[in-house]
Amino acid sequence: MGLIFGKVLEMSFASVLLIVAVSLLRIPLKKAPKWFMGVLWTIVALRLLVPVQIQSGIGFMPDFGNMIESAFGKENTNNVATYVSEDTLAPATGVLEDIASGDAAPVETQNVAAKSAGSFVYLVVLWIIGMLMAFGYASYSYISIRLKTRISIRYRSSERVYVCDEIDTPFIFGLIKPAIYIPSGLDHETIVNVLAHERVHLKRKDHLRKQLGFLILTIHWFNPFVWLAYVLFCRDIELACDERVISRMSVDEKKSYAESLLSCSTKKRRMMVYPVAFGEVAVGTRIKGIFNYRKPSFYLLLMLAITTGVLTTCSFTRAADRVVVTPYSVSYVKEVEEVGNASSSNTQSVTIKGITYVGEDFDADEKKSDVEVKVKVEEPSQVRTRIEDIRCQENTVIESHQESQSEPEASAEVKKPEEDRSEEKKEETKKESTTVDVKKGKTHVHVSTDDLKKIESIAPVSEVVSATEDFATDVATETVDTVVGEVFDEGGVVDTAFGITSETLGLVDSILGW
Amino acid sequence: MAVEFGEVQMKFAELIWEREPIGSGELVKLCAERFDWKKSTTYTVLKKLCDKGLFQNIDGVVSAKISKEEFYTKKSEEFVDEAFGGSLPAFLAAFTSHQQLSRKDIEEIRNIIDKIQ
Repeated sequence: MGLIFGKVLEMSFASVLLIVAVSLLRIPLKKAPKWFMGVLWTIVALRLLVPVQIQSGIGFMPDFGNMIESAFGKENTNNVATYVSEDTLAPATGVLEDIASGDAAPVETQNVAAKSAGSFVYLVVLWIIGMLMAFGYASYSYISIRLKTRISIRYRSSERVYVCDEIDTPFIFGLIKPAIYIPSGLDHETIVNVLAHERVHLKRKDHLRKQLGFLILTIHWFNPFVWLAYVLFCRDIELACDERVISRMSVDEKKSYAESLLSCSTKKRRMMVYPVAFGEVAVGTRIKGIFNYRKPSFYLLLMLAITTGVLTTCSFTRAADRVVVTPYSVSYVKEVEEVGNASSSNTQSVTIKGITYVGEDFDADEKKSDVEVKVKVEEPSQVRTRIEDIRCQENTVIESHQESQSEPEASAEVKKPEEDRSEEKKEETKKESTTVDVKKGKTHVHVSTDDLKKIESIAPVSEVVSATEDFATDVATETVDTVVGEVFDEGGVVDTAFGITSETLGLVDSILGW
Repeated sequence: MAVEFGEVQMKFAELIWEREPIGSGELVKLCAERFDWKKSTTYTVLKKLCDKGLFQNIDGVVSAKISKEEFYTKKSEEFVDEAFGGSLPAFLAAFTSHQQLSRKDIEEIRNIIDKIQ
């Protein structure tokens, strides 16, 4: 449930900009055909229902999923905590500690995570209560209308049109077998207009659309923008319906239609959930709309189509992650592991042709392999998982340690082939083995030359941020044996490091055109 | 009386006036036939009309408390009271302003006036 709620939150956040855009678009689109608003609301509905965000360079939406995840701790800790709190029989702390130790994670971090997860659980419960209340209201509304409409008589011999004493506005009721209900005491002319209107509603399947709209509102009840969207959506449904009814009417017929609208507009404004009513909303606007109707021009339609396209693309994509890859030498990485955190005290930097090359000199005696190159790579997570794929195919060792809360999939220890690797390990670390070393979201991967070529092919290195001046010459003279790279995600979510050899760096070099 | 009667209730009332006194079971059958009503629906509407003083349901037999003629007389009085302040001439004037009275209508009205005099 927590997972679903996470997705719902994600969709809710992602939809806000879209709803604002569509709501604002209503103003310049006042004279545009009203059915078009239906198209726009469909995009909004999809955004609110389909939990997919395609990553793309043209997208500008931030990655809400990651934001939510980082706000409430990792998804897996959430699930653990949810499980614990729901399992009332088990002593909660004991179970928590068990799980914590089983996860090989420090208990302290787990507790912190559990705390934020606890507030998350609270929100999930609140969300469910809200949904139940909305559902309860809908049921109440359904039953009361059902009781009222039972006492009705078929209007003349019309199919599924009923006259009812207890209602004061005409509406459509029923989802599978919808029927039109009209209040008693209407004169013939009004009934003709009302039926014309309601039949168009049925043709447009508005009763289903409105129901779907309410369902979405139920799910996203905590989002005021969705409420705004629902209210405007209901208005636009009526306007679009009127538009279609009057599109073939003469002026006199339009007048009669407008009068009928007025006579059906009830003084009491209730929020009716079920019925799609005749004179329910915004009668003033609708009467204006009746006399403003014009056939849309081709250019207007073209413009509308473009608007739709732009809105759809923008709302369903999010900005691609911008990632920085920094290859380091193996010795540097070792040093980092020993020290814990690398201090950049011996950093040297040189700027050539606008590019800053930063080198770190740990030991003057060492070879000039102590270099640092930063290159930008798209999509860190994909790079990492794909690297693992490659390693598995190559029958080499992927070894990983999980420390603190990090990507769960990286914590799996993969050994291929299943051999005694204790002796090989040291050699392989330098030459061929891959170490996926997860450290607070940072992953160091030592890979061979061939592998890096493959990595290169899946994750194009796009930009050099920095490197030492010596580095270029090192590459050329192949004095560098192995260089370990590190990928920095700007959001700091997933970092990956590659171990690369001079050969590969040569490749990088050639790609970058040094 | 000043009670509102909807179209549905009136149709139902007409049915009872046509057939009364009528057993409630038979009425239920009749309503199921004509209006597609369930038993409970029929009883609900019947109870409403009984409460309004139109009918009575004694030992499963429904009969009228007020006849159809009495009912419409009261209705028309109420209407003239409400719409024309109880003034019959005002009502007649309004009625004739749009609709031409036929010779037969005029004759009948004259007879009514003669009778009263």
